[in-house]
Amino acid sequence: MIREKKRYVLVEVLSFGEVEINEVLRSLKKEFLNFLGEKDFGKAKLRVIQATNKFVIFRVSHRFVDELKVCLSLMREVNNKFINLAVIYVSGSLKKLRKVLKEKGWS
Amino acid sequence: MYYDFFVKIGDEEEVDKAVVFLKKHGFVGACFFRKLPRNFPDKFRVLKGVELVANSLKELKNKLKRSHGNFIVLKSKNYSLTKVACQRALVDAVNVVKINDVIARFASLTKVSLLVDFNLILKSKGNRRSKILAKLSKSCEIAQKKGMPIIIGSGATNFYELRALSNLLAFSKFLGIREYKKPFYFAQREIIRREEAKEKGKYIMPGVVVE
Repeated sequence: MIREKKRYVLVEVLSFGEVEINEVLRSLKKEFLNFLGEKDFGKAKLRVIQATNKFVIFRVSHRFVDELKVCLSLMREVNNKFINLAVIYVSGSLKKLRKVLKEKGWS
Repeated sequence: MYYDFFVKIGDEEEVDKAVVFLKKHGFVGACFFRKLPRNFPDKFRVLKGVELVANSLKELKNKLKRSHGNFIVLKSKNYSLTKVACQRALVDAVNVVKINDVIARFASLTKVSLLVDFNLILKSKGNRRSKILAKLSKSCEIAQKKGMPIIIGSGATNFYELRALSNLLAFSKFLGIREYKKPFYFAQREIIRREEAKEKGKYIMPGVVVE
């Protein structure tokens, strides 16, 4: 079996007031499932690698990076609080992503 | 190189924040429709946009006389008005969801763009959202076939509705636009060139610029 390629996506979290990161992830998962449908949601293999109030690192199949980006764009509010999830960087390895995190001063 | 040509933020503080956000996330310019930013970096291009809502040609012409902006957009549900506006190049872009081959053909000759408002999708839900997405995909397909320029804008009414360039590029791909980066620079560059010529007094009329 061929090993599947994956991408790590670094996302900046901007919100109006304090928002629980777990709430954000829960609604994102819901939105992603809604957007892709059950069949493709499984194929996308979306995982959360690291999540803080400032940023989130996702792992996703390389075929679904654009779908994830669109889905992140379609998120508007969580618990009646405005939210903006901006993609900062997409990488094939975590090592490179950690470098970007260091440059931003988030690690 | 890339521009967000549809920002409708009304709050002064949020507009200044928006410029910082847009610059940080890959844009080199933006067109503001409500409030213009007071402070912005030198390399960041700021334009003033005007959105005209009209239902008849007479109403549109009256509004055109009174409006002054760098980028003029027509929002109308009237099919024949949209067609005439594209045919006579009365505006720079039309903000409609559904276009047909006739409008696209006229618009390609006069270089009137199809403006895709991302905020419309963001604010809609469920069945309505899927219908809008389907219509927009179809419109983009027709626009590409006929050579009508496309502009994608965030349409943000507050800071949190702004979107990063990479997110909007993914959306452009999702709509089925083959040259997915083109909606963020191609028509915008022409408008900026025209406005620069107007500032220098070199612009005479569409197609005539003094060198």
